[in-house]
Amino acid sequence: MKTGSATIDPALFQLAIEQTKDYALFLLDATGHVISWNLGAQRIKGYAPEEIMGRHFSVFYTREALDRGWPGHELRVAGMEGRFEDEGWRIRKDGSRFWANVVITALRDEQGKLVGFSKITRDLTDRKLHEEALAQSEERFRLLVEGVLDYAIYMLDPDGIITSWNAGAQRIKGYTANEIVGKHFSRFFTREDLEGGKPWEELAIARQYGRSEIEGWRMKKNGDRFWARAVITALHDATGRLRGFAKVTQDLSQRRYIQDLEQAARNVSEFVAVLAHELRNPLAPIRAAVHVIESTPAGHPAQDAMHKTIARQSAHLARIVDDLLDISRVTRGEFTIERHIVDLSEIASHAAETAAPAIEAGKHLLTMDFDAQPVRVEGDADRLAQLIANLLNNAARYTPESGHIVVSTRAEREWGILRVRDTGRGIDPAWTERIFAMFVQGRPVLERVGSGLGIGLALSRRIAELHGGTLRAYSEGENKGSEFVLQIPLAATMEMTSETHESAAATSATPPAAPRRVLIVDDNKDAASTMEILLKSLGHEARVVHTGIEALQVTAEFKPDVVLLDIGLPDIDGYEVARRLRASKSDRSFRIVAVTGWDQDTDKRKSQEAGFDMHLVKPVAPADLEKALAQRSGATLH
Amino acid sequence: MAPYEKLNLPFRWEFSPVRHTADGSIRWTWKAYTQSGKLALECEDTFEMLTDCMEHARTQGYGRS
Repeated sequence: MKTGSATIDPALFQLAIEQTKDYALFLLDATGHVISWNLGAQRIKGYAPEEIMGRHFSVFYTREALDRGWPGHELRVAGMEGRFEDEGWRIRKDGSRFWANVVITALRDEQGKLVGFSKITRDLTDRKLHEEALAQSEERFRLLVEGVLDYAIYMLDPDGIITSWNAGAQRIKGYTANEIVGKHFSRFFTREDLEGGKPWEELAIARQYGRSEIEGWRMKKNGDRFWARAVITALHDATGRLRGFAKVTQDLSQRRYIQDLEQAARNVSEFVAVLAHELRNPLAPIRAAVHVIESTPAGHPAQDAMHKTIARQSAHLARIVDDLLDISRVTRGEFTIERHIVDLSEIASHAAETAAPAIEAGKHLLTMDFDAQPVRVEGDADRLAQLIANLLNNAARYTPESGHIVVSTRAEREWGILRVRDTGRGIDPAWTERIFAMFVQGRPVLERVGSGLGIGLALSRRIAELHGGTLRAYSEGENKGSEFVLQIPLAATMEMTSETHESAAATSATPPAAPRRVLIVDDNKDAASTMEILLKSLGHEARVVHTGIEALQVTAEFKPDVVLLDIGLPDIDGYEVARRLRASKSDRSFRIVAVTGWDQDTDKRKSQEAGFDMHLVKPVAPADLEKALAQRSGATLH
Repeated sequence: MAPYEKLNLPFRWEFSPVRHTADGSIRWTWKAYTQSGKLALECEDTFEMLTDCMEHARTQGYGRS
């Protein structure tokens, strides 16, 4: 034998083949019978040369391969093409299987006649088993990932394009694999996050640190938001090149919802505690004043002061109730304003009177510095006065005694500006925005304004916003005073309405009512008798009943001009009483006025439908009562 | 050229607590300053309540732009 320039001894070559142990090297004749056998063949297949020589090579094949005629096929292919290569299961002498890599080469003589085949077989059982184990493991993992419903598990390429999608991802995000694979994962982010570049930031962090973990709002296919916890892991190949990212997202909306509920429950609990405290504050002096009045002879000088105390504290109680109703309106989205052209300076001067008790208590110097011209804005005089009074109460309560409060108004370009500045405790700059949140816990300074319920600033800002304006707080820090700035668009050049301060004007403008016959229907005996005394002191004739049935009976005989009717009665409610009264008196010869604690718009609508002429909310101010009695029958419902 | 009409800038109204000389109680009074800080009007009375004091100032122009 000769290869290149070297000559190999055929005997040596024969010996090398025979001694090779790692490969089964043997020859077949043209019909497939074994005609040579080496040590490797003996080791791999288990046959000694004398056992196998002359036998057909099909003994190495499995039953399934034999049934398919595979040994003959191999030889035919090798005969036609010169070579055949295959991998498959083969059988050892002891019947055990091994995974074989087989190469069969056709051997031809110099005339090209097929004289036999050489066959080289390698035992690749270990590799095969390893591959199968790996494939099984990968399959199990794939099925596991695909079947997970609680987590969205998917892959991204290095640019953030989605390359795989599991059932959990479909369940949580709403997209099928067909819809989303190939798209960029940024579509799961909210508009705010997109504007802030969040998706790319997350990938950059994962790329740099190997992992990024974040909680935030994500978008579903249908546009809904869900609260997600997402982990992105960078995937590198053996050379360290970034191949993409694995992303696991968990929907924590339920947990977030529960946390929000728990927080809301804590807020409500704290709010109720504060409310109880705030209600007790004015009640204590009222009870003390009543005691003084009872224990002193009529006309005693102390009684006048006690009456003033009761008036002041009951007005404070009424403000608390008003704030509660406002909060209810805000949460239901029903907080609205009326629009008239009003002067911000004039409103500020009225608001200062409202806040006078707090300023008085703090012995503060109050400076009112108004613009030379009316600062005309289009808005609701009562709501703006409420806002400014809140700011003033706020300043008065959080400024140490004998401080200085300055209220100024200015028309600056297209804005009406009102500033309330004080020399008080100030605000930590970190809190100047958060103090406007409702019921926020842990506010260290200025936490309770208005009625002390922690809602005054939130309401005030809402009022400013409804006027198309803003309300902001400024402070250089604690104990450095603070400034609240209200900014509202100036009104176009329109005449100011005469209703600028309707309620204040109405209070004094309503002439005393002519003496009326008034039927009071209220199951609260104290409330009924107080009303009776008040009416009699105003020169009216009054009768009291405590049930709906009594009201119907007494009306026929007493013939009242006005029925002051409570809604919640023990037998039939006030609505039903009104309906029955209206059914029996179609000429509306008397007025029916609801006197109730319910002040929602739906309550007012219900009372109007039942036949009430007017709706007053407890506690009824004497001025409102006068107004109700002064109007003629059939007046519009307020 | 100077304007014919006299400039009519509003006063800065100041409501301040004062101690009553007789019984030491806090009472209220008001003063009105021009925008340049010159005292223009001064109340000669004191009031038990700030509201009453404001009401009195109102009769002298407070709250009217």
